[in-house]
Amino acid sequence: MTRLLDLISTPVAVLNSLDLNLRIGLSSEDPMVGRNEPESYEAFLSLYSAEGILVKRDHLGKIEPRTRRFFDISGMTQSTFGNLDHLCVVHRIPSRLINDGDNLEDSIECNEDYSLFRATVEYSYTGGGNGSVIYDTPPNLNATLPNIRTSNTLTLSCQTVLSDTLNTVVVLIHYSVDDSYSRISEYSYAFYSLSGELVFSDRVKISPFSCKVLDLANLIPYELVQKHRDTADGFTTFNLVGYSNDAVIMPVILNVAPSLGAVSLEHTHPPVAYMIAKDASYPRSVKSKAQQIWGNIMDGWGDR
Amino acid sequence: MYIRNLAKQLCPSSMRPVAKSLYLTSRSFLNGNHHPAHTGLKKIGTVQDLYYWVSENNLDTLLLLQNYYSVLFPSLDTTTEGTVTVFNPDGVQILKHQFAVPHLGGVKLRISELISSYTDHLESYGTFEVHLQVPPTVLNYVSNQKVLYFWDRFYVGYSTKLGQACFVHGVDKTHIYQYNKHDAVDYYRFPKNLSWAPEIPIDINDYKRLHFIMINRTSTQVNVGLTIRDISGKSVDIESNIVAKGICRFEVTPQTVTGLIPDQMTARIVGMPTDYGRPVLFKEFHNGSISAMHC
Repeated sequence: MTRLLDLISTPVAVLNSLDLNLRIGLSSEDPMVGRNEPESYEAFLSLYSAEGILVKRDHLGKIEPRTRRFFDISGMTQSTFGNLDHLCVVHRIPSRLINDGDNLEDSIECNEDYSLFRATVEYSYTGGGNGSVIYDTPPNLNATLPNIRTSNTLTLSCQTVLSDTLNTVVVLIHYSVDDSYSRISEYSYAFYSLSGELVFSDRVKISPFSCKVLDLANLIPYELVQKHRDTADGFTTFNLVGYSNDAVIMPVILNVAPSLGAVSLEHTHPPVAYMIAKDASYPRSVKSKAQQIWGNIMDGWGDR
Repeated sequence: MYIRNLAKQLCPSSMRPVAKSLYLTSRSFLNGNHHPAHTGLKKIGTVQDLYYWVSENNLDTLLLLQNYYSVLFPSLDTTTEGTVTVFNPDGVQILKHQFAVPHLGGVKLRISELISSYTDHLESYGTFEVHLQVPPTVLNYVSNQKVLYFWDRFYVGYSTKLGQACFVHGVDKTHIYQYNKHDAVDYYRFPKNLSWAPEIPIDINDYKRLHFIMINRTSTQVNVGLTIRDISGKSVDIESNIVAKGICRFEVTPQTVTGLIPDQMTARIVGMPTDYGRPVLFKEFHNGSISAMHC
């Protein structure tokens, strides 16, 4: 049984504090051609406040078969949220599954496979280029269901570049497919230089149904950025390690150059995806142990 | 392969997860000491993929190679060595560069600098493969595993002379490197003939130039096509042969799609050779900025 709203969904950060416009591109076609027949979908948008309270849920519109549609989310939300960053969730439901008066919270039995139905999340500066990425809500994300393993996160990424024009913003998305989910998550993180030296570490608390923006140009002291700068191209690059013991946090990393009207973004892969093992439980055990060790390491640093 | 695909088609979709599990379990039992996904996955090693590089005009390729073993095994000294091998669009090796990778650290390389220091090649794009060796301490630590392969899912960066950088992740596999064996095993020998419908709506007015980049990770030449279709049904088709381990860039500009409704377009790839070998969409904008994504 799956909630209609969770058949196909994508949680997205609305980044008003960065002056970034947000559009969501949705398709009515299975990207894996031949698996599901093209059909029309109804698109809905759940809007959460900066604190993670559901403010409203709107019908965005219909996506006709074999088409794509962009929806301008910033245009719809900026008057309500001003300069605040907040979470929204875009849902797609096959039109044939919705009747007048249906409650979208209802669960249905569904045999179709909608994996890989990902939304295009596109940010841009007004008059500039855009950056986009596709992703969707992982199955049972932070679900508080019986027999579901405790959710947790281990993150690694090289996508950190700082310069006079370039900044990196790590967006931590904390969403759940369970409306009653209420856990406040703690996410600890560290940045290492290319030589393996610890440069900066900190931890943040993230409310459910919200996002946290780590603006690295503002977080990492300027003198540390300068110390590790490559004078040949002016880039300072760091490696990110982060973890949470109490929730799956979805990191999205943006590289932004406002003065150039440039933005790009990419998600991260979970560490278990870096291992192919005959013993299928082994990657999870490596991850769990690594997370525990990272916990000890970062706890040992205390609040920095 | 044919029988497996036929069985998949005949099996009701609700039963497929169970059937797949049964198939993999029985295959694993019958095949002995390798991973059920591939007979080349024996003992311990790494799986590597081909990535797109470009070094032309305003663009360069930026490799920020994180020692991912350090994150997975933080209590070990994961100092290791790596190589990057650069190929031209036809899969011919241009250069091979070796480097050391510190524990918890990484390596920064630019393809333009590698090419100028190693060769006088004039190609402006192609593929490359990175191989970070499994650190000796990690090899020792995982030695009780019958089959364990590390699959480097790194993010390749691209930069502009204006000072921007963007990243895109890897999606697929090309070579299997078993520890202590010199020669790689091809992950895919024979191509499939798949179609893929990228999710992104296309408004060509947004772009100065779009490239749909396809890599043929198999050992066999393939023919791949890109169809750009507008909402009225009009379309433009482009196709190309891609040699084994080669790469193709389908260029789409406002001129390419003249006559189509420019802000109401979709794309489709036909002849995709591998299940996960989806296109990279490389975007160049009128203001000089860039971005890249997998579709």
